[in-house]
Amino acid sequence: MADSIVSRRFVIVGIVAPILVTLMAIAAQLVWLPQTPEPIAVHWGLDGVDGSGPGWTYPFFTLVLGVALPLWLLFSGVKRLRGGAGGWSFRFLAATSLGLAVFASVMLTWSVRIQVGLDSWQDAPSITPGIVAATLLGIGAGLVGYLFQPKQEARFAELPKARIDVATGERIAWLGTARASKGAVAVVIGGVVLLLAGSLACWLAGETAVAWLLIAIAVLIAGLGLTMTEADVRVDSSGVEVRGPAGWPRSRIALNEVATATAVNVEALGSFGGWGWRRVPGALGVVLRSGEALRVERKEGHALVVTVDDAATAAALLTALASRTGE
Amino acid sequence: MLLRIAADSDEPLFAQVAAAIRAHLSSGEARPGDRLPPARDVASGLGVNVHTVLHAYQELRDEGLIDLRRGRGAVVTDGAGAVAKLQQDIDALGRRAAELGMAPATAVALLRAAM
Repeated sequence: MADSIVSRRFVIVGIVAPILVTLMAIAAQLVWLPQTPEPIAVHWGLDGVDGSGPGWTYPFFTLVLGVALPLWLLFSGVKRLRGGAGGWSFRFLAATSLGLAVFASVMLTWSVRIQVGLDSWQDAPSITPGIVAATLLGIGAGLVGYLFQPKQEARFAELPKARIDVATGERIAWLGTARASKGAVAVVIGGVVLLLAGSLACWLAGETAVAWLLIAIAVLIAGLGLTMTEADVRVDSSGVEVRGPAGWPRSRIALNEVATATAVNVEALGSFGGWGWRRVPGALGVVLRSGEALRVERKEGHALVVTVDDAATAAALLTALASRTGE
Repeated sequence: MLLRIAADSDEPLFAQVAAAIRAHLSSGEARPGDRLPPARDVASGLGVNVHTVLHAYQELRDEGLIDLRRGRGAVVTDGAGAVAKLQQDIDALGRRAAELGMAPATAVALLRAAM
């Protein structure tokens, strides 16, 4: 399989390396913990150390922070990557997994190391150098992990093709609507309602400033959420156009710019890192759900991907129209 | 939905648009409660005037295939489901009439008389 290097390095960077780093950090912590005060300092404020807890806090949180993302990638990402999905966000997620594991490991192990030989947790020195070191090492590890993986354009598993023959002079158009699942819409509405309820509570409690802030966030989420619920897709003799509700956002490709049109399968999280109108290297995605999608590639390479039912028909029509003008 | 209008037809344009949408409704792809695209989108897609599409929508409403509601656009009715069920029989009837060399107008008149 030509893509084995992609999935192999994805596994090394996103799963094996973070788990190794985490286990090494935990081993070091277990060596040093017997020489540290019990309880141990676990929290630092602006004025220095200000909180303590049992020693096992460190290995426990190192384990949770270090292996959660790798395990998730192991159980969801690898299968999808091998199944033909691909793209920038796989590479990014694997690098994030490594960076996060290194950050947590350095940060927490550092906190243990600086308390070796102390009598009380209150004597713990400043953690600032540890934060700086962990941040730099975490970002550095993430970068190395990102560069170690091959460059990936957004790629998708192709679905069966349809075929449409267009007669000369025939007027023909395909219209479809991309819709989010009812569950996703419910989540957005629920979030907005919760924020509004929270702002009402703040208002009644006399916290007007917080109330206004919550209202602003609710309006923002409602606006963004609206663009994530529906988009109209049109294929006709002028090309392809995708429009959000109320005509915005909008993206179009003129017919003479179209290189290929295909029906593909899209993994929202895997290929685009989420839902909505998303720009990733090589593609603009209008991703309202996972599954069937129309993918139109421009002659200059950049693609438009929109998740819509009956995408095979839309792709077939666009292909037929493009070849008609090409002749 | 795929809408197509042949180049060589003597029918009025609105009737051709209505026929294209009717074909979509009878294909079984449209379910009762589905919303049809705004007339403005259909118009720019097919390169016809928006009033032509609205005329076609009114025609389909009069046939009971869609509901036109302010603010909700054109919604497919249960009546469209009946069209989808009958489509196969209509196709068979049309083929038979053509085999027998019957003029389309005669077939339509006979069908109308039978109802």
